[in-house]
Amino acid sequence: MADLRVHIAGVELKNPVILASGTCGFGLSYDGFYPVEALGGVSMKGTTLEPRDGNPGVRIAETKSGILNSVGLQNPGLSAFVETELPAIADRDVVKIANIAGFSIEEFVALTEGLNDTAVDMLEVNISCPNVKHGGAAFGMSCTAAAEVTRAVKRVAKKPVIVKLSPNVTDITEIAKAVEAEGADAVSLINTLLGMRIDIKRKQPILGNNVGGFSGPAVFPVALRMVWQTARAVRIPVIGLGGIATWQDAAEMILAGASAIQVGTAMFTDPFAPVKIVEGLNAWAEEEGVPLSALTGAVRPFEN
Amino acid sequence: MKYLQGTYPVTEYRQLTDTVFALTVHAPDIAGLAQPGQFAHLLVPGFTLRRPISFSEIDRQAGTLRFVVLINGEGTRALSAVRPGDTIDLIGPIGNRFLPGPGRNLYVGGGIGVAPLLGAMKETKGETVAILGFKSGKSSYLLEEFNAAATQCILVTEDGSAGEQGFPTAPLARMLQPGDTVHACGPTGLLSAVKDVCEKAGITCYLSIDSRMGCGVGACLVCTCKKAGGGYAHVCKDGPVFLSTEVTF
Repeated sequence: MADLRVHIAGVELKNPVILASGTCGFGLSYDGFYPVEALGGVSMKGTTLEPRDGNPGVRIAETKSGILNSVGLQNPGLSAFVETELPAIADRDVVKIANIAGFSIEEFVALTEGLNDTAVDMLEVNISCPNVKHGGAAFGMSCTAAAEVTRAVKRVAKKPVIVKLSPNVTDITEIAKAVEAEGADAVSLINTLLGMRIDIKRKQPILGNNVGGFSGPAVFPVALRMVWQTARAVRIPVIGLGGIATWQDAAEMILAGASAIQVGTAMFTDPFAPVKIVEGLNAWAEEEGVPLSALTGAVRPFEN
Repeated sequence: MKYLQGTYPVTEYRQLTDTVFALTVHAPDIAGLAQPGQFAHLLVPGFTLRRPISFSEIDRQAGTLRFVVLINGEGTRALSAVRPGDTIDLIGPIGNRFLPGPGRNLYVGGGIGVAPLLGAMKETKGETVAILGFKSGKSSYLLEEFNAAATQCILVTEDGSAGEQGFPTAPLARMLQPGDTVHACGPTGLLSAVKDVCEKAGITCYLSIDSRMGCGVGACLVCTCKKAGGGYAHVCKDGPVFLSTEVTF
């Protein structure tokens, strides 16, 4: 067994594979297939201050090698998360990441304070949800807004803070640098790409929200490129996600500079994808003869 | 919730109509747990999303599951190329089951929604009535099996080319008696009409609801149906069978 441990902002994960927010409920949705302890961490469903019903109509559409979703942050709200959902996973040996989504700076602060004295190990600040009209990705689209949220959260947070970045921007490295400057402990990227599909017969969008977040294997090369660019632009750890379906995808992300990776949509095709990725990374690190963390950023780019 | 996942051999393929086919899969572990009304999540190689398909029949002794599938997109078209000797990746059993009432049980189906009612009816004790709606006689299927399984079987077609002309709600409204329990599966328009007829008559009614689905395990929250009291229930985790009074269309 290779050394698969990774450390992000002082938190040790037994391996670098984290379930991505929005695809694993509150971390235990796949516990009926294999114990959640097989994974390094779970990033739980995006939580808002108040309960949210989410978006009306069709919420999912398939694409070539991917999907679009327009869930719209359906969740039971902070109180129910702390009182009902979190206790179910609190004693499990896995790093618990709470994904928080505010619609104002004040809400991000209230969410952070509400989670300070809980079993949550880390916060993932969601400034990149493409499926809500206000807040959401709006905070992730400008350096000023992203910096302001990060500053406010860091001022009150007792837990390490990961900021989850949107790919729907001109230059993701500028946003990453802006949140790093305000004290973000890590960044995770990418959230979904904004996409659309149309039903030709009905002449209507398939999704009830017209547009939605694009994820799955199709987005992997875009995510990889953004992780590579971001890892070269910041000093804080980068968590890579976006279309990872196999250990080889995860290995590319790690070589590009990711300290850890998240798996999401791949579980809809194969619920065991995350554990297969852990096994594959283990074999890869054994073959390389180094701790897995030594391979982070080990890509040797061409210097043109 | 404990789920089984595996790769299982396909033992039979049968074309039932131009667009509907039946697949029998030898999956003894899933068949041993499966109940009528539940479904499996079928992987079609090359597609990101699995397809949720209800069990049409469960043979626990033979260890087989029969799925009846409508070709209505690229994924189900690809699935229709599967033949005996091939294998298929399944997750199951998923969801809740039909709950027969103590009196007479009426099973109302429309189109592809007819399929899951066969297994449910076979496992129902006492008097059963099948009311099966199709566009035309040409698009009907499994009629012999329903005739054998049900105490009474009523065929309804929209164009009148076979059986009674119209929609299944007409014979349903005509036949309903106090103490009946109704189970329906089919297009939203049919479910909504069956719900109205039963609720007006004060009859317990269960609806099996179809939805575009993601994970199948309650994680992704895409397979919504509207709850009567507001908000959304999720077909994979809270259903697919709902009491008619729990949902709204």
